[in-house]
Amino acid sequence: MNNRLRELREKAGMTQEELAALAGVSRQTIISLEKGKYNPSIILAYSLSKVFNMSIEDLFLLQEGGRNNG
Amino acid sequence: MASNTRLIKYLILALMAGIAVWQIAAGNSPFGTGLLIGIIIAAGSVEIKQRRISELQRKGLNPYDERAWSLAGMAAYGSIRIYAISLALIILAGSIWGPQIKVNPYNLLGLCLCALLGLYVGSYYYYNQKF
Repeated sequence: MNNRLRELREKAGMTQEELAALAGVSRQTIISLEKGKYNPSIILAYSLSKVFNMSIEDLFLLQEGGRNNG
Repeated sequence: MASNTRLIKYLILALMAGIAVWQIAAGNSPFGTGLLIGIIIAAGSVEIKQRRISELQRKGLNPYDERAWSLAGMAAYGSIRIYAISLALIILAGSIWGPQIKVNPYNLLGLCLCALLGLYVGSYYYYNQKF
């Protein structure tokens, strides 16, 4: 699953640690999300979309055959 | 909740230290000394881990977030799968070609436990790199 986290975070002038604190997760989780290695739960996806004031679909983009275990 | 867990961990370590001292006094010093060294290492690890968690929590971060739980679950499943397959292969090979030897069952159980814990730690680091 692709996402626009890095782009939006940098546009908002936020550090990974600040975004992690706002979403209630660890910085490592934000790093993994930005690299596209980890797929968030619906609750985390919702929290992150709320931080950027946009819908989940605008933040996360599901690609064909993009499912993995993470 | 976290401080209660920490207290319980230290109480268990204190109890184990008591057993270690008792064993050394009773003349079973190889076991007692080994146990005491293990307790010192475990106490150090608990303290270091607790400091790191407190540091993250002070910054408003969540050290027990969903990714950590997800990794722990994958590591547990991965390690038990490798453990079961390895043990099955060792039992099969040992039953066919292995010599008949006497073993101390407690030492054997201790080795099995160490192997399982080692596999879990290795799996956790593997999945931490992967995801």
